Amino acid sequence: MRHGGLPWGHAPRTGADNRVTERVERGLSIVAMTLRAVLAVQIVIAVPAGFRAATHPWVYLLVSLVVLGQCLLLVVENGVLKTPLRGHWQFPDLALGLLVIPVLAWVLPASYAVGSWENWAGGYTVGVATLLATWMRPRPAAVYGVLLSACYLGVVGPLGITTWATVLAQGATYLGLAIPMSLFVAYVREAAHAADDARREAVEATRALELERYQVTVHDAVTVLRLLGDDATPADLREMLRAQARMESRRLRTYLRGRAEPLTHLGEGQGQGEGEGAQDAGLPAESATVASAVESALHGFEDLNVELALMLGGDIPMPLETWEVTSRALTAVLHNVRLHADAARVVIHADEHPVGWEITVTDDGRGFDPAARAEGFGLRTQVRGAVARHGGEATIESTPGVGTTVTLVGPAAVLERRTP
Amino acid sequence: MTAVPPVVPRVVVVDDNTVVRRAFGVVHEGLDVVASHATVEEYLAAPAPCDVVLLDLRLRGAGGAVGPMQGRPAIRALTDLGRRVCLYTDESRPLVLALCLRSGAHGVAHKSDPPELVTEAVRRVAQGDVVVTPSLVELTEVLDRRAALDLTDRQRDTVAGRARGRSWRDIARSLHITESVAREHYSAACTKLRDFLQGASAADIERALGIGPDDVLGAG
Repeated sequence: MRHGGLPWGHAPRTGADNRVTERVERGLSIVAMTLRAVLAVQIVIAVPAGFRAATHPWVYLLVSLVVLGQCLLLVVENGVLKTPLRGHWQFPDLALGLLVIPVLAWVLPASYAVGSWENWAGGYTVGVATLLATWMRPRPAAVYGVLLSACYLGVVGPLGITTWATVLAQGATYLGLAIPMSLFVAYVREAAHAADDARREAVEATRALELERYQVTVHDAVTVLRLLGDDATPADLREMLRAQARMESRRLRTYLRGRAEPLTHLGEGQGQGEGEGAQDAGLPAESATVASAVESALHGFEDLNVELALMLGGDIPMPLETWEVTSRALTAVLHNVRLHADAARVVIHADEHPVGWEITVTDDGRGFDPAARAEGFGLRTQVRGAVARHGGEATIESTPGVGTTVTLVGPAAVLERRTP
Repeated sequence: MTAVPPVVPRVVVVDDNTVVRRAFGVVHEGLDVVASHATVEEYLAAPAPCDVVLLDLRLRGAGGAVGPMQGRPAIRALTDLGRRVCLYTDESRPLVLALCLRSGAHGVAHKSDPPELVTEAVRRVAQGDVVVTPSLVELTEVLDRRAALDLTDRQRDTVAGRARGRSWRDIARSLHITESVAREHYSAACTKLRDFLQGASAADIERALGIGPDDVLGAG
């Protein structure tokens, strides 16, 4: 993944979502500042001797001061901007790098061209080639490295003060530093970007999960409130809704206290505490059955004409988590029936299933066309999604004018035998 | 299924609730309510001819006192008279309703059912069918699973669909048959249920349902 639009370099990414990238940039700018400061110190140390040895000492001094000034500007710029990617003083650096090799070779005797710091052009340009990596992409960095090499070979080679092998090897240093360093820095930046992207995705996923959890938690409460606020809701139904509203308020309080899971309701007095779920209420494992999950879900739906047919599968034990999720899913289904179906009768049937158990909820209401209408949040998330997350499956069949059947299938619990 | 169906079944309502007695005929336009009584004894004293007697399972005498003939003795008294009995009740416990079928009742309709369902149930009882509610359909499933009923595959599938509350249309479509054929399979299964309940011993029923000895006999 490539970021930035400049042809020669990267555009910096900043902001709260790019913390790793910013730390990498800060680190690179510290490296650039330090290297540049060391270069400047080395030049300062060499300048007095170079001034005395130079054939054109004032030109030597002027070039040295310009380069030292440039170094100082880049140290300050890096320190202020906290990234080598921004600022404008890198570009004069490129020109100075190409300039100082011939100028110092001209103003100093030929014997200083190799192996002396009085001619600091070699050390300085190696530093420039190395620091290119912090702000330039590998390809233009390689091009500049080739230019520096060519310049060095073209200037120092003809002086004849050392072998061509030494000159060539020294010239290759520019490429050898510019290209691998540029690749390394580009790799580190990519890794930082990837880390920031991964963090951002994780944050977004967490937000989405929290939003879904919130929606799951408040969905039933919203349904109850909606009916309570509707003037057309019959008086007898209002009393049931008020009971459900009390349960929902307890459940929401539990949610606000920061429990990990949205808790299912138990009937009044069924749990040890207010609105506690199966696990928190200490529901014995042997009491978590298909029948008790159905009965738990039915609280507050006395207005619906529900026929229970639990003889075949009612006694099947359920894992506690599955029990809670199933009860919540059934509650969501019944809320849907109450809101949308206008059903005369609802049949809840339990049976054995190769996976464990099967519960079907069938209403004879108005139904809907599943192909023409997207499932609402309740069916999609509270029923299908939640059941699937706990190893089960939910299927929804509906025909307009005929009714709707929701089938839940899930695993049974394996209860340990108690020894007397 | 054998009798010629009357166009509008003649019905006698036996219910201790005055409102039910007065309003039943008004609400159920497809039925001809020829008489209504608060107790079975009243009807037996002057038994009007009818196709179906709709009988409330719990009858209270004057002032709400429990005393008049009711439950299984009431069913037996009416069937002994040659009447077809359809229970009209809020009772939904399968075992209790099964005992009523065992005592000779031909069907069950719930007071919470819509009028059209009740009318349909009474018509079918008048035709000779056995009509059961979802809780009894479930009992049919249970007994069939325990090999007490000899249902065919089609009857089994139809019963399974009805036990889950599925509509005739859905069941017919899933079995690739017509609705009327689905109803016939279902009716045959219900008749097998009643025949089993009436013909089997209490011990057989208890064994088939997996309940304790004397639970059937002791259930009233």
